[in-house]
Amino acid sequence: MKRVATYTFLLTLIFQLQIEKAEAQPVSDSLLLNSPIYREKLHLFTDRSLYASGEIIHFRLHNKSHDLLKENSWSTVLYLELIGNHNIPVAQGKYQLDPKGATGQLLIPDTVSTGAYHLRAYTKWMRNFDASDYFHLPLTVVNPQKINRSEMPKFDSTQAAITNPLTSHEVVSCSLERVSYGNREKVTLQINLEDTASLKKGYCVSVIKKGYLDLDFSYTPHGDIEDQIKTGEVLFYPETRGISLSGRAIRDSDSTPMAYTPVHITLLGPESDYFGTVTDKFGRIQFSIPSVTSPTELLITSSSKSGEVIDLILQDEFSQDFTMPSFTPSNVLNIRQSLVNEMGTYSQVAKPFITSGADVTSTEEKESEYSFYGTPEFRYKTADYIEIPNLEEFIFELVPKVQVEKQNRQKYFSVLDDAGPISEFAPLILLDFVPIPYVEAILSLAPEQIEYIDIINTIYIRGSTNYGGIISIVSKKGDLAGIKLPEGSSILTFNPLNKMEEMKFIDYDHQKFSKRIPDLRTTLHWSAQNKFLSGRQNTIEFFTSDVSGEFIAVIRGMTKKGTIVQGTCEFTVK
Amino acid sequence: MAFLFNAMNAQVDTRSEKEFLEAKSHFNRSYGTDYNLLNGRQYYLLYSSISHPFLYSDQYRSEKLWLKGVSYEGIPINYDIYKQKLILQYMSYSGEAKQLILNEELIDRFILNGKEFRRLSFPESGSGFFQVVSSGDLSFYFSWEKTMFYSPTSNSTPYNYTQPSRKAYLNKSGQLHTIRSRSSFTNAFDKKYRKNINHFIRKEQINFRSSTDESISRLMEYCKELTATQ
Repeated sequence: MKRVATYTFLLTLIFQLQIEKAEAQPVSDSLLLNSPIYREKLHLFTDRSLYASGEIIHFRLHNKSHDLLKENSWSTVLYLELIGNHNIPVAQGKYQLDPKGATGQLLIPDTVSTGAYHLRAYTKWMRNFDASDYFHLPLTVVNPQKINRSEMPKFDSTQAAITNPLTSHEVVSCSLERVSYGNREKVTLQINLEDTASLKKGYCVSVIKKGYLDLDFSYTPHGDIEDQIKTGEVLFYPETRGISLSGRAIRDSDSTPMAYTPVHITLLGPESDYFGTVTDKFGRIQFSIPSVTSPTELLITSSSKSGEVIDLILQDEFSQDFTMPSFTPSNVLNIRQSLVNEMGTYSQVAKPFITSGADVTSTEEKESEYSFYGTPEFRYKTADYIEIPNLEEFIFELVPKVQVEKQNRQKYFSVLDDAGPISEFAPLILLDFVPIPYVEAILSLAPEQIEYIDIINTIYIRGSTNYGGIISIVSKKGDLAGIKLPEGSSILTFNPLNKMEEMKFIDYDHQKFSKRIPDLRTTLHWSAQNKFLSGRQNTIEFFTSDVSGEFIAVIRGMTKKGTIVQGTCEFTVK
Repeated sequence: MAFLFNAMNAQVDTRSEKEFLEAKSHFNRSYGTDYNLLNGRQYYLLYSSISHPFLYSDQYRSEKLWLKGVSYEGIPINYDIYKQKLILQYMSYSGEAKQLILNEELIDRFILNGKEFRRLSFPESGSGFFQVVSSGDLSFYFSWEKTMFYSPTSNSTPYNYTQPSRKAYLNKSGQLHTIRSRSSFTNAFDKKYRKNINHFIRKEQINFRSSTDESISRLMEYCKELTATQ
């Protein structure tokens, strides 16, 4: 017992030192919330404004924040949501945000109804401010199976012609060899950048059916005109180190915040991992989740010294604050009825021929080859040994580097290195990567429920914690071998950053395609990060599809001062 | 007046930057330590008073490292070529410099003293860290090691480390060839190239035991050009 108490004291001391160091907040919440420097600003371009359900939205996001924030990775995660009627998100994604901004795709689910939607983009830090600070962009989605004319927004004539005062059409322009092309024909787009152009890189290029992109749209966040002093505390920390989990630990009985309380986080599934952290003096949890590549279940649990039940209240992954964007719902549905009908037709005809879209929500599960501790010093596969009634006897008979000891009627594990028991630190005991406090319950497990036991018999360092070795038990079914989870545990789905997929376009010069399979692309080209040289040396090649009509190439970029640079040129496909 | 105004602005900017960096550092710390980086077994140095087990120096240098796809810059690391382990130096909360062994299975690559090392696995040699001299379909690696020897007569510690020694490998079309001599290198190529390669080796006076990385790199470029064009 004395030994257990010593471990607890040491762990608490280490945790407290760590947290107190972190808690000495150098800059006041008031300054952070009121200084214009800390007001992040984003601007988003998409390939189109009109989509069919099941299609992919391609986007390019510019970070317009103050250079200090932008260049020093204040926020490294971008949140993007497609919001429908009644502020219901129909698609969500998280993306890597860097000084250049972000690029990526968001898949529109097949099941959404035809109607007006908007994309909104924000960072976790921006959630400290009004939701009107988020970037909003109106979009229209057509689902031929789900058109309800009565729900279509009414056209507001006062919003029909929004001019964009920030746009400069002068420095970038484009031209084509011809004004008319046939189906499946190669087009060479010449992009001309004037010598005076200060912006040379970061351009996005979209070649689309004319009318599918609202070129005149401009969004001004309310924050630009708001100058009320904000009071209160910083609730959402900037994600300086990738996606984070935030929340509070409270005592179940009276909701008191639990300071300096250990919190255990386990990634379940193929990328199993364990992280131990601790709450701060206000009972807050701030935890940056290391690299995870696919959506995974996450088990979060806490333990108190006195055995009290602790509830962990986590912040929502995505913002729950909504605002009425400063634009009326897209009028495309009404004023461009023919385009909507056409989009619906293309979508229906193309669907049977679509083999796969860009993989933006892939849930491909790949078993991680190694655990976080790499190759263990010892691995005991229970199937390799004779039948033994329980794990206590298995360990006693076959695992010499682990001892089960007893003090004051309580059993505990001890790991031995070459010199004997490692007494400086308590070992980490994991069952399916979940730290289980019930030693007796583990010892009474039947070995046939267990796949293997890994032993690391040396001091192990993970994050800020030192462990006196690791005993990692993995059950055959991955179900904790029937042992109940500690009270107050919760399981949630953790979605990592969306994968960046390079958009691949059809190349009729090098690939063979059957004439019988229709090519109904309305986005002929999209590239999000182009660098151009001054003069006429910049070319982009693409192929037309089987869709005929008027097309437009749109080149857009944003200067450091936030001015949109835009050039367009048109052609016909017959 | 304009000078005063500019000076005041500069002062505000410096203050803002200082505040920003302090705030950023505070939020960074609030997330705790990096679990991807601070992850490994405690390192024990088998001490010798006159030698060390590291490749270049016993000093930890700020280098670049890739772990599970995440890149880190300015990380104090060292390569123990006796144990074949990459060691990370970190500060404990008491301010003491400590070392841990990074799990080699999770290391993608690292740069040490301007040289790139990768963890590679070949049926012929097993897995381990290799210095990449030339990469691609035709690649060239060195593996480094030190051994420990017993010297009871010396006035220092009885155990000491040897000087680093290297083994050279040529990886051609996925097959690893151990290079011990000029002929073992040329024999890895098709007969029609051997004469030219031999000539180049003689002309450049390349010795696989002692030549610099740059010389080997030039040889590899020559071989790549030769095999690509003919």
